[in-house]
Amino acid sequence: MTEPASISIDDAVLVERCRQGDSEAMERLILKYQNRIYNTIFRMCANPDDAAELTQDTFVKVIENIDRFAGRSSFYTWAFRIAVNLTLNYRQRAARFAHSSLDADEDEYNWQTKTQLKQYLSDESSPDPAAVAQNEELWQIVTQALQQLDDTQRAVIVLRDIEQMSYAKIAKVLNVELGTVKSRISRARSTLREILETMSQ
Amino acid sequence: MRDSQDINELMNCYIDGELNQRQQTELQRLIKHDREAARQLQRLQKCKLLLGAMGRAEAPPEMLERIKTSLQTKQIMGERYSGVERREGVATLWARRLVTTAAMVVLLAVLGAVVYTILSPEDAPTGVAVEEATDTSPTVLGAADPFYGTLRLRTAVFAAADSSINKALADNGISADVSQDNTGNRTVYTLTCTPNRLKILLADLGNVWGRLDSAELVVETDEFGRQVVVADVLPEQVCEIADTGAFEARLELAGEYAGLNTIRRLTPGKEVFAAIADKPLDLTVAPPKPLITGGGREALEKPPTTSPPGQQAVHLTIVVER
Repeated sequence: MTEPASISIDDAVLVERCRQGDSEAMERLILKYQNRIYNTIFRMCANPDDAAELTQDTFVKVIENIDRFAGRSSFYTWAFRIAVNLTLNYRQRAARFAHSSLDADEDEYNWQTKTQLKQYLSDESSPDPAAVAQNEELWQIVTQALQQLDDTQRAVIVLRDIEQMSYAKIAKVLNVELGTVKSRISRARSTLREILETMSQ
Repeated sequence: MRDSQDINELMNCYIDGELNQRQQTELQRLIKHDREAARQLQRLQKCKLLLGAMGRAEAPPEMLERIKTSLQTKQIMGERYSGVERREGVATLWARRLVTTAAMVVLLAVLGAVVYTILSPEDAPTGVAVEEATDTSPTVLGAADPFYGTLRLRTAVFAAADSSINKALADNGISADVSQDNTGNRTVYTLTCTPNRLKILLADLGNVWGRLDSAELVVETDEFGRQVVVADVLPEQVCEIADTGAFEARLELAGEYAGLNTIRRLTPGKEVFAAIADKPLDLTVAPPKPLITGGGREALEKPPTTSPPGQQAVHLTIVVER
């Protein structure tokens, strides 16, 4: 029985050409997904150098193993799965060697930024993130808050809220059940909310 | 408690557009009549919107080139090192040979002294020892020749060792041809990778090494039948030999390790070797986990920002037997 072809036509053609050694097809695949994969990894590890290295490793692994890609999921899902696994493994190993220095910066944000975040989070204000989008320091707070989540919670929240993946795709990328995705997202958002509230004080 | 978790999940699904029509209606009814539920929904929504509004970080502009370089490096493994790297390689090899020679001299001197105390002075084989120690003159490092070798591992816990090797290969993205005999007592892995990959692989196999009955490395060359067998080989020795760029230098290093391992095996007082190698006394009882040279474990954990332009290919056959 043949597998259902869920791969999008463009990617399917590029993948096939890439398998045959077409370097242009390989470049197109890389250029098509490099920013999305980099952004996801960067939001998960918060370090641009690490994110660049892990993105590089992801694509090298993708190209090296492209013959094994059976097309049961989309190329995009498969590539993200490799990227997320590499990042989670890297963070797990890195955690043994280093302690995050993010905590040290917690009190260094200026009070205006904290006030802005507090206002945004308050029940009285309307949810208008565009109003706070200009404040770069606020994004640093959010990035720092994200890093305080555990790795699995951060992965689901980044894939959902930043990469805008559906629950079903997240389940495929992380190789977990749909119910697990739901519960992790639920816990991650509640925890993140609490962390942000604490940081806004 | 369970209910509040379910409602929380339901709210998150709602704001993510993951509910069906009936569930949506139910939730809308709930938030219409329950102000606290409505507030909770808005809090979650704000959290989601805040993350969604974060700017997108873009990959460095040179990302494509980095990936291509990394892929090319793997494809052209076996090409010669550039001049600078060859000189660095020569320096490293000289330093390594110097240390090895010094260690051999000290080892043989101590060994001679031990033998001298046991046997009569007339019987002490000091002449041979000195001759061997001084016969390790270094040769000039040649080009980066591909490494060909066979690593033969014998163990009573075959299934566990075999499974660990399989996992380590998969974890490190190393593809290998695997063949297994009918009895299920022997598996042969044929793989090609870079010396760095080999280091990581062997580092991951540290727990396997402790459970081996024997480990033997056969270092081959491009000439049929020209080979050196290193018995009781240690993971770091495999790495160093595979990382040595030229056939001649590689054979010489393998020969040195073969001799060193033989002495280590035959030396009655293990403390002699331990003192020289700066390793724990129970070294031969429980072989140590791999100590990776040239950068250490941390360097392996974090891949280099840019890959070296050329590395010799490592063609290794791993035979695991009961």
